[in-house]
Amino acid sequence: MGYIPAIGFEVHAQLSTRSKIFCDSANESGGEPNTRVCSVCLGMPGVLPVLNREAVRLGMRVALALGASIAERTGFARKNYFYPDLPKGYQITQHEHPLARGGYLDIDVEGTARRVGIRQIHLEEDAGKSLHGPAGGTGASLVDMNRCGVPLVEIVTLPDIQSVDEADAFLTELRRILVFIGVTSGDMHEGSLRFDTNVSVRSLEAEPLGTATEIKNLNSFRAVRKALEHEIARQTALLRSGGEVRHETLLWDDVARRVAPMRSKEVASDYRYFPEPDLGDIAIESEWIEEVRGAMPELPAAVRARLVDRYGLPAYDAAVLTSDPDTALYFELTVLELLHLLVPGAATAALPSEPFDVAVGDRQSPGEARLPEGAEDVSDTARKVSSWVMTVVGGYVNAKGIDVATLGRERVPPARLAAILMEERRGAISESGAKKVFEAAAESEEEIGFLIERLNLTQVSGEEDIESVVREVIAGFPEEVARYRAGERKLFGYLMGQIMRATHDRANPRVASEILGRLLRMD
Amino acid sequence: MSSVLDRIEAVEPKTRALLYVHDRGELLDEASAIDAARSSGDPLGPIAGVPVVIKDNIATKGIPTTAASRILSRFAPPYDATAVERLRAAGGVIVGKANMDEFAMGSSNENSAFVAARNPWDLARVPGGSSGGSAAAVAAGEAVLSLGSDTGGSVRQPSGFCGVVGVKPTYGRVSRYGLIAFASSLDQIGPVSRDVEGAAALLGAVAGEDPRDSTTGVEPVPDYLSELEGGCSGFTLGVPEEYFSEGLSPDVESAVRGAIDVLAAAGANVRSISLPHAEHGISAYYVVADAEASSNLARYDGIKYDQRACGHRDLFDTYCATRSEGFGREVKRRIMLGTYALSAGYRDEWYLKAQKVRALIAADFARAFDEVDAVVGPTSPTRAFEVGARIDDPIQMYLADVYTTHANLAGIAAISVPCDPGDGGLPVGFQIMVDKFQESAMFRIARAYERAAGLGRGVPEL
Repeated sequence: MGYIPAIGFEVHAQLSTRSKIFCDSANESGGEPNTRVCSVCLGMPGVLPVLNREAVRLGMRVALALGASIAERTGFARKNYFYPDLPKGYQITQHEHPLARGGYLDIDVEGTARRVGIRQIHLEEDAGKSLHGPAGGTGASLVDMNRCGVPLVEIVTLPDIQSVDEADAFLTELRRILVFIGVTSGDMHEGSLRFDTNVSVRSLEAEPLGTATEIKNLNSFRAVRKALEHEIARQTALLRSGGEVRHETLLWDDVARRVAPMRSKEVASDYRYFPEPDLGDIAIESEWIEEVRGAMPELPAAVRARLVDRYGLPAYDAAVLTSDPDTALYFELTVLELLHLLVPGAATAALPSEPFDVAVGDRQSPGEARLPEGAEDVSDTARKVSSWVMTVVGGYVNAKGIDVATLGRERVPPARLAAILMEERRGAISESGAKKVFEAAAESEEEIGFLIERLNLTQVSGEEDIESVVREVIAGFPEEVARYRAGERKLFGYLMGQIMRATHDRANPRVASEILGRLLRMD
Repeated sequence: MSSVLDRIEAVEPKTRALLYVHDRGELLDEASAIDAARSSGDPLGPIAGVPVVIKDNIATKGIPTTAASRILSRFAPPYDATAVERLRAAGGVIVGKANMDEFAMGSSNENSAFVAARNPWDLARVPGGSSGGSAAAVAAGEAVLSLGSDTGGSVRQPSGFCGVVGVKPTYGRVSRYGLIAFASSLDQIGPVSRDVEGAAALLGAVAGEDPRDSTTGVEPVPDYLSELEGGCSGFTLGVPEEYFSEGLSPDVESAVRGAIDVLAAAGANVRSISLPHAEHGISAYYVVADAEASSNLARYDGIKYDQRACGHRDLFDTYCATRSEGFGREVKRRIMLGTYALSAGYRDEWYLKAQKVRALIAADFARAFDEVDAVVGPTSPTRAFEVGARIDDPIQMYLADVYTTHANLAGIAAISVPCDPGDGGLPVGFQIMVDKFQESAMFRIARAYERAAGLGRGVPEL
């Protein structure tokens, strides 16, 4: 008998507001413990929360991106429980009147479209962090309140997900959306994105869902995958052997890579919710919703579709390039710049001059820029740039530990990469020469033409010049030439290598190979 | 200033109205600076140089603010409450912090964790509560004005007991920023003074919208003083029949009816009204207030600025021990009641039902204010009772608030003014309630009564 899981998620994303959700303290990560706190986020006696409307605006963006209905009136509630990193003894969250309900996210799992329903989207404040263990050798537990009051959006799904791969596809696409619309950094190392999941298993014949368990403390896609695999296997084995799944809350141990039941004292059974009296209801007028909708950044699915439809990229390339908004923007601006360079007499591409200085959620889509009139071979050009961005650019930023936005802002803006690729296209430099120019361009502010000169990379394309080098090589390697002529064809490559070496890679390989072939056939 | 400080020195051992008195030298310097400014013609605030005491649950920067609780016995906040900031800006001089029931929970001041304040008119009796220290200090001449807090009558009831004027402003009229929360949807800071003019001046100085408190109203603050002497003719006063029934002591009834007659003679129209849900006020009040309190007091867990119990290795044992040692009996009783009222399985029956009653009471008043300008009656059912008389009977103690919780539940404004007790005995409070943000009318009516009655109690001998 087969078994099928039903998986739902509660996704917490830290919102990228400048200050915290209920006070003026900075909303940043890193730094010394307890330095970004004030009397309000510390919950000192007598202080009051004041709602940061920017957090509401970002929450509304999430709701619109997922097709959820935004409430006309929304309000906060207190969730009461004791923990040292919760300074007020309650968390301000939303309970009966969430910001938005409904909505869905469509995902593609190996060619099959699936829809995951959203139950609700709400706002809340983050708690601090408890640091256990040998703190300064005292063995004491310490509390860092920097994270207290960081705004969170919580997205609660229906249990519509039926496999670990679907779960992975859902979270990947959701993270991408949240990053593209500029509401969160999506950085899982810093805990900007955290997951709780509920999972149940039922036999394929059974209609109603089985008893679910909840797994908390999942801070990476890998942890989600491992925890789900582990828990689905456990529940399936239990059901197969005639056992029953007990409803319980489990905690993922990322080090031991297993789940363990939470200690009973850590599971508050009753949060005693009631409306937060320090904050009134919040009315969300339709004008405000329309304003947010009007400023809505492009979703990754739309960018993906454009990369395929407009630039003729393979779906795989489009998916890789849209894994983050900086890479997608970098790619598209480079293509547009290059296409303009390729059309003689075309006006320069009127693209934003400092695109990476604008926050992700506020950027203008390059989809609004027109292709130059008379552009040809758009798809070839796009594939060339795509290959460059995925390999050369991707390799460079990984090696240097910088992000694409930094590269695009400070080192090789898209127009500069387009200029390098243009030099290659017109044969002034070889492909390997272009890569050298790119690396040099990333370290210097010199003109591309000047860099090519300085690096001595100007390609030799003149037939006479190349032919004299080819003749020298043929004369210098008589044994290899003889063996080639006797039928050892693979020595052609060896001889080409000698030509490139003699010209310091500057010979146009196409011209050189033509001449070498001709001269080897003679005699 | 020095006469007030001398008076404090002389009577404080008897009244125990204050938990903290500021350094004499600093206060005299502050006072002489204001005198100097006055003589050189500098513009001065409306209460410049007036000695004020602040209830000890209102944050004063660098000055102990304990809410009369052991758990905050070493706490001095790094900020001023908005009301304190505005009081200082208006020239008020803070001479000390007033005694109170712990976390404002009580009607007699006997729940102070440190010492119970006494009624200056009879030291064997309670000053009322929870702002008992504020009322006793003003009555005894230890301060000219005080800021108290009123959650269910905590300014008005002690003011009535001590023969001074006390105001519970409209919810949202005075910022709660810096007021140590008891029940956030009911709490308001309000003035205590010897006469209506003082209360009007102090409220005018501290009221108004505050960006740090989202529940403050945006309504502009009128100049209460300029309208004060407008008289009461043309106003219609409603006398709720439910307020003059079982439980009201006859001496209080006759004093209050006398006060209403005085206003009628001064030109007010008087008519009988009904507040049909009035009798449920006290039950609804204690459920809502305690539910909110159980959450508001969760932050005192021994982890941060508060007192922590020692010698417990386990976190949850530390919580239990800290809170068992740090809170007094009444506070613990209310936390338990409030926790119960919000718990799964009981929430609908208690918390939600109390909220429904609250809405009905608010509707009763809304209907009344369609027909009358003010609702008048007694502040409390009795005069000040004896120390120890009710401390072991919480229900009797809670009944002291039977006429005062309505204003908090409905979010409206109310004032208690001393009225003629008729027998020359202990003070009796006369309560005037008005619709939201109608404090100007409230002060006018109260002042009209005060002037017509011609009372002047002065200060007790002590």
